[in-house]
Amino acid sequence: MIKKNSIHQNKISIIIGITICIFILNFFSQDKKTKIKFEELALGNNNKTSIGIVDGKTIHCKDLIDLDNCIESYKITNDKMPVILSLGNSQQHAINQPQFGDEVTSAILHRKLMKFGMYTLTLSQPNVNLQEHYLLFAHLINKFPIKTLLLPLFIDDMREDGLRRAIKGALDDHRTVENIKTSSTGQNLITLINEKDTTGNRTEIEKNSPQKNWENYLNEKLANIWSLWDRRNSLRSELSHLLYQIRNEIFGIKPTTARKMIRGPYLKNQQAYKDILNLALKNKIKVFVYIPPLRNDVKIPYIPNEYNAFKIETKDIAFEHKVNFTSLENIVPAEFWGFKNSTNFEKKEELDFMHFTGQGHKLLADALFEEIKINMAE
Amino acid sequence: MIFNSLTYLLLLFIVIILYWLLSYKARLLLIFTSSLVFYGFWKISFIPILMISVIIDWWVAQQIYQCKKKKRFSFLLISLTANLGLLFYFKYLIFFASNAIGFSNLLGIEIDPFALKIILPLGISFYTFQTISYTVDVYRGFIKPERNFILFACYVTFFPQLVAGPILRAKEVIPQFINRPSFSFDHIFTGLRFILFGLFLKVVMADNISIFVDKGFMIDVENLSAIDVWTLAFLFGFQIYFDFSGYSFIAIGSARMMGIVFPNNFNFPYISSSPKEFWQRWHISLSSWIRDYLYLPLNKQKVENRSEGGFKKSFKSSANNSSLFITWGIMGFWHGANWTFLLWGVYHAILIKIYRLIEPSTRTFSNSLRSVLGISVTIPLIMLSWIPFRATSLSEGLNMWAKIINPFEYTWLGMRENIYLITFVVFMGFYVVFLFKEKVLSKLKSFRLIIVLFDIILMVFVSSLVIIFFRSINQFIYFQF
Repeated sequence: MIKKNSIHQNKISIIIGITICIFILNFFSQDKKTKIKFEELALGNNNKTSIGIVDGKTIHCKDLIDLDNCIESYKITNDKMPVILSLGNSQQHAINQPQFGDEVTSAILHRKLMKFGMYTLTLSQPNVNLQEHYLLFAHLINKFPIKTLLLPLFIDDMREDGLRRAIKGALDDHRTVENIKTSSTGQNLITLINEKDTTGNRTEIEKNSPQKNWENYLNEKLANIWSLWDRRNSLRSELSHLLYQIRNEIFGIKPTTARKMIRGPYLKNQQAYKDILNLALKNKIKVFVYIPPLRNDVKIPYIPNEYNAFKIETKDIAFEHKVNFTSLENIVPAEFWGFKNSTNFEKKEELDFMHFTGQGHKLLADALFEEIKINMAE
Repeated sequence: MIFNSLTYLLLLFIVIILYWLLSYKARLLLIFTSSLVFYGFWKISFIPILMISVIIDWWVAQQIYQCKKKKRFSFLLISLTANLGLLFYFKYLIFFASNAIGFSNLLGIEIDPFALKIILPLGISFYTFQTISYTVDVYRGFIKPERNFILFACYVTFFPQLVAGPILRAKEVIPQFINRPSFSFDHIFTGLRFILFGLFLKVVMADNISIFVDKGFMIDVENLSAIDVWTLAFLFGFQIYFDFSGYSFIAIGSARMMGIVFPNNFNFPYISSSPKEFWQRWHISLSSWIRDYLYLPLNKQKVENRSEGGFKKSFKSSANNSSLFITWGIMGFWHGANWTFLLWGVYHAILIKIYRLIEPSTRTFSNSLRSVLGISVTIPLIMLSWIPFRATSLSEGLNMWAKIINPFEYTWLGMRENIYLITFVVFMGFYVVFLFKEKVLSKLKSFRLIIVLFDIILMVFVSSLVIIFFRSINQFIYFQF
C-alpha cells in the first residue's frame, strides 16, 4: 500500500511539477522577444548600447561573431585603406542618457579620420581583459592593413581574466596562433585550448561531428515549435542579473565601492599589454596607449595607491617600448557623466563611473583625433 | 552522444517507446544497435575496438567454462592480455614512450622524440574493467558464461553505462535482461526523476561552477595564495562531484526507464568521516571493482561479487601496505596517463594508511565527536587530493600544495571575489541539503500532503533550471578516463 502510494506521489509530483514549471517559464519569458544579454542588463536602463555605423556601414564590432559585418564594410569602402584599430570595453559602445542623434566615439572618430584617408575600426567587449585584446589584435593583423592601434588601459579591465567564447575562435586561425605563439600570453592562451582538447575535458563538442550537426538541427527545430526554447538566453541573463543584485544587496556593494586590485589577473594583463606592444612593434604598427576618461567629481572607486601605481607602471611600459602614452582621464567634465540603475534592490540611481553621455563620446573622439593628428604631422 | 544533449534525449525517447512495444529478442537487438549508434556518434572508428573487446571476452569465457582446469588460466590470460593490451596501447603508450625518451635523454642517450598520434577511444577504461570482471567471474566460477552473443554484447555496450559507468557485474545486469521486465509507469517516472536530477547537477551546477574553476586554474601558481588553493580545491571537488554524480543519475534513470535497475554510484561522499567511508560513498562501482579484482586478491582474501559496498579493509594486515599502495597507484593511473593521477592515487593510499593508524585511538570518543571531528579533518584532506587531479602537471600540483603549508601565503587573495563567494555558497548548500534530507524530511514522512507539496516545489525548481540551462556545451569530466 505504502509503495503504491509513493508511486502515485512520484507521478503526481513530476506531472504537476513539470506543468507548473512550463507555465511559469512561459509567463516570465512572454515579453522577451529579443535576446537580452547579462552585460546589457548590468549596464542598466540609463545606458544604451550602440555600435558605430557610418553611412550604413558597420565600423564597430563586438566580437568575432559580428566581425564579418566590419570586414564587409571595409571591403565596400576601400580594402587598401590604412586601418586604425581602436580597442576598448563597454565605454566604447554605451551612451549614458542617450539623446537623439548621439553617436559613440567610434563613429565620430571614423568620420573625422576618413577625411585623412584613414579607416577607423573599433572592437569593444564589456569587461574585456588585455589578454583578449591581445588575441583579437593578433587575429585582426591578418585581416586588415593596421597602421595604428589605439589602446585604452582601464584599471577595471586589469581585474578581468579568461577568454570569452565569442573570441576563442580566433585560435582556430593558424596565422593568429603563429602571431602569438612565442609570447608568454600567447603560450598561455594556446595551452589553455590544447589542454582542454587533449584531455577531452570540458571541451566543446567537435565541429562538424554528427553530434554537433544533430544538436544544431534539433535546437533549431525545437525553437521553431516552442518559442520558450529560444528565449532561454534572456532567462539565463535575468537569472544571472538577479544573483548579481542579491550579492550586491547582501554585501552592500555599489558602484562607489572601492575595487581592490587582484594580483593574478593584474600581472597577466600587464604581461598581455607588453605582448601587444611587442607584436605592434614587430609589425611596424604605431601605438597610442591612453588612460581613458574617469569621473573626477567624486571619490574614485579604486584604492588610490593602487590606481596611481597602475598609471605609473603602464606609462613606464609604454616608454620602455617607445610608444605614445597619454592620459585622457580628465577630458570629460562631471556634467557629461551620468547615473545608472541601482545595482541592488534599492530604487535609488547610482553614479556611473564607466559610461558617459553623447557629449562625452564627442570629447573623447576629439581628443583621440588630436593625438593622431599631431603624430601624423610628426 | 553526450547525455546533456537533445540528440541523446531524442534517442532515449525513441528507444524507450520501441523497447516496451517490441518482443524480447527484438528488445535485445534494439539495445545493441542503439548502443552502437550512441557510441558511433563520437567516432564510428571507435566501434571496432569496442567490438574486439566484446568478441574476445564472449569467446574466452566460453572456453574457460568448457576446458579443463589447467587450461582455464591460459584463456583468462588471453582475455587479460587483449583487454589490458588495448587499454595500454590507446591510453598509456604515448605516455610511457615519451617518459622513456625523456629518461634516456637524461642519461645522455639521445633519442629523437617520435610523433605518435593515438586517439583514446571513449570509455575504454570503463568497458575494459567491465569485460575483465566478466571473464574473471567466469574463471572464479561465480557465473556461467553467456552463450547468447547479443545478450552479452548488450551487457557490455548498454548505452546508459557504456562510456562512464557505473561499472557493473554481469550477475547484476544479464539476469535483468533475461527476466524481461514488464511495463510499469513506475519505471518511467522513477527514471525521469533520476534524469532530471542528473541534468540539474550537470547543466545547472557543474557547468556553471566549471567557469570559475577554469578561471582559477588558469592563473599562474605563483599568483595564487594558500586561500586560493584551498578555494579551488573545494570548488573543483564540488564540480567533479556534481558532474560525475549527475552523469551517474542520468545513467541510472535511463536504464530504469527500461526496467533495468542500476545500483547507486554516489552517496553524499562529502559527509564522510574517514577516507575509508569516502570510498564507500564515491564512485562506488569503481572502488568495489578495485576491491574485488585487485586489493582483496592481492591480500589473498575472499572477494565479493557485487558492484556495491565500495572499498574496505583487508583482514590480513601483513601484506596490507604494499597492496594498498599498488592498488591505489593503479587506481590513480586508471584515471589517466599522467604522473598527477599517480600522485592522486598514492595520496589517497597515504590518507587511508594514516586513518588506519589513528582510528584505534579515537574509539574512546563519543560517536558524535568522532563524526564531527572525522568530517572536519577528512573533507579538507580529500579536497586537497583534487589539486593534482585537476593540475596540468606534477610540478603545478606540487607547487599548489606547497602554498598551503606556507603561512605567509595566507595573508592575501589572488582571485576575483565571486569565486570565494560561490565556493562558500556551494559548500554550505551541500550540507544544508544533506541535513534537510536527513533531519527534516525524514521527520515529515507521516505528513503526506506536506511531502507531496514539497516534492512538487522541488520538481518545479529543478525542471525550470534544467530547461533554462540545458546546453550541450561541456562534456562530462569522466569521459576522458
